[in-house]
Amino acid sequence: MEKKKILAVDNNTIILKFMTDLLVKKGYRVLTAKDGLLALDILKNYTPDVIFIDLIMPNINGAKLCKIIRGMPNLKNVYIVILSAAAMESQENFTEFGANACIAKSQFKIMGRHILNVLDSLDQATHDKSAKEIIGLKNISSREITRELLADKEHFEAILGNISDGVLEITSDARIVYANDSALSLIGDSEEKVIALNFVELFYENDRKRIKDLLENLDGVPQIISEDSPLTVNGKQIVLNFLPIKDKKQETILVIIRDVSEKKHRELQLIQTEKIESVGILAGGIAHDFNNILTGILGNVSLAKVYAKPEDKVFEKLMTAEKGIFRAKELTRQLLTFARGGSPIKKPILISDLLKNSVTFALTGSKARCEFSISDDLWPVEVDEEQLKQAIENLIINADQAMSEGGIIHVLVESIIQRVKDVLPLQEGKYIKITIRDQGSGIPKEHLPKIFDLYFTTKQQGSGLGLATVYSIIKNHNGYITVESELGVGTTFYIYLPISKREIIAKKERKESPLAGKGRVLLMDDEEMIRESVGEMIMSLGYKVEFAKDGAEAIEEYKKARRSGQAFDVVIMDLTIPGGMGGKEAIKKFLEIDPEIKAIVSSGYSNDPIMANFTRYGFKGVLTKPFQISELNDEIHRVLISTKVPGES
Amino acid sequence: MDFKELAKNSDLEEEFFLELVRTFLKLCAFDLDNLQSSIDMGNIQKINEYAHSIKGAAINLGFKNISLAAVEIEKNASENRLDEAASFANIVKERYEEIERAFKTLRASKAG
Repeated sequence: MEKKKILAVDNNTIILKFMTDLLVKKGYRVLTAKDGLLALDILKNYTPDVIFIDLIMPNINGAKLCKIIRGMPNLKNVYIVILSAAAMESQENFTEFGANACIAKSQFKIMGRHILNVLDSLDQATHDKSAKEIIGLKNISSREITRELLADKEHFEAILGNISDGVLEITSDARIVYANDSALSLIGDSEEKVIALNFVELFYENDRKRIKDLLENLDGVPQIISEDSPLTVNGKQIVLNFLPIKDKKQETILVIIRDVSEKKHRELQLIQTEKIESVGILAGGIAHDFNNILTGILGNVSLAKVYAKPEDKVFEKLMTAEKGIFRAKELTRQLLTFARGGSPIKKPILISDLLKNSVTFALTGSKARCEFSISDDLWPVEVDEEQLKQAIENLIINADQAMSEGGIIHVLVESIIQRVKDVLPLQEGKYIKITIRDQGSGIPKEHLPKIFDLYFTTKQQGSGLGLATVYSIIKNHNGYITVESELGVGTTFYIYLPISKREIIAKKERKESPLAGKGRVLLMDDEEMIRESVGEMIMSLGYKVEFAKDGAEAIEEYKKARRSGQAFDVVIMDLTIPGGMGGKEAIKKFLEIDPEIKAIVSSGYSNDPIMANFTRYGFKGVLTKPFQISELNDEIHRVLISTKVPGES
Repeated sequence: MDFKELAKNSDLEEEFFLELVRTFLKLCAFDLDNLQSSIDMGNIQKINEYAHSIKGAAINLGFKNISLAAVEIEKNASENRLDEAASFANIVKERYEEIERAFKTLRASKAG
């Protein structure tokens, strides 16, 4: 019968020499290893029938080595014998970590006999594999000892196992010999697979050189891989702390791993938020100044149109100029949408016309065409028309770009009732559901959770602002947007907008010729050009007008007029006055003087919350700069005849 | 020190036994050196590790005095009695030197 192949693993050279001498003489083939790592190296090319393993060894202890060996498919049935003094002293249940037998270390004469007995019985297939007895225990004179040693190790492992940071112990040649639970969870693999691995191999190819260099140059000094340039393992961003530990017996390196993914994500979000805030402040500032300039230009053009006859050539030119001003106004609107945080200026509308206009506008010159399916019984929604237009246009532009060869974009609009138990994160109630479905290339699954993230883009020329803006707009309308996509089939966006509880105010027919106004208007604005052009517009509408450069001057004028019995009927106030009192502060003082004051707030900051909720601040009307003469006329007229705000109950 | 008797008790040929003793002396010298440093530093974990290593090898070869003293080192160190542990470390050292002297004498006589 062919003699069995043996592997003996023990850090004690005397034991290894004894085992080799004993077993070779009996005809067994014996290989030895001084520690668990060497044993694992040998086992790559050597499949023994029996492995003798010492329980307490540096690097990988016997129990751990047993578990790793049991996890190796070609060694599942190898017979493992624990050979240790510690085992019998601590009454370790060796079967728990996968060993078949345990022989207590003792004097060589006795120990040798037990080893040969086990091997003989295996050769004769008489060994009881289910036995859990520690062989040779009765013959040991000294029973005390290593309980504390084992207990100490277990104690430290229990502590390390419970800390949230990952802890690895690696040898000087970077092989992992210990990993706590947190480290295994970060690495995403089992202990059996991680132990004995080269630490460097845990990382992506392009990070390996950096770690190798760092390990080679440790020179007994702790090193860190900090949050400034974290590494990636198993999809997580981590920082590392290398602590070299040297004693006379061995050199090891403790590696503390900290998962900073969440922190990094939060930092990135903060940076993005700050970025968008700076863009917002800049955009808001530009838009405001630009709107003030446009107010002057539009005012003059509007006036010129009033003075010209529609059949005059100059009238046509003024119309063209006005169109240009509207385009410029559109540009400032877009800038202000990026200046997020501003509340939408909502009013109740039926959404169908807005949708059709936005889609048609976005598809101008495109190969794609749109098919609408709009329900007849739509409920009104309360929206900021300009913002919603932008959201729809962004989605349609995306759909169009996804269909480079053209195709059909389906737009479905319907009224729905959201029940409590429904899946969507929406409150119970009535909603308008807008479905925009394209036949484009689709969005990869892994990109779907990020598409609404600020600056996320897969387009070469994309800014990553488009869908983020859409998301922000819908959210600001207390709505919800979601997406479904399949590669090669297309993408569908679903938008839910809560219906309006306010009634729709029918738009009045705009009249180019002014109504004959009557009354006194106080116009407060720091810009001379605005005072001049808007003042002339007011006068052309039939009102008398006085001017103030800031809030303080306006209050004085208002008081003076009241005292003289010629009170103002309407006050139009600029919201912000650089270096002076703006409309926001002035209205409080005006209300103290005259709680019934008819004040209109005017601003180029169309996204300012006061503009969206002007009545809450005591204003009776609002004018978003730049405005046409007809808009000015309507608003003054409305404020004068009634204090009721459109649609407000 | 009767190495012949010890070899017989271990069921080993005398020459092979002496080879193991030579290895033991070499390893034990290393462990003793580290044991003393660990006692000086008060590192209980390390004291236990080195005492355990000395004890295991001594038991195998039948050097009972050393193994029993090593057990006492472990016990005392675990109970933080470092002075007692140091006393037993001295006993181990003395026994070690006895074996070393006997080994050298035997080798010299064999060579002579």
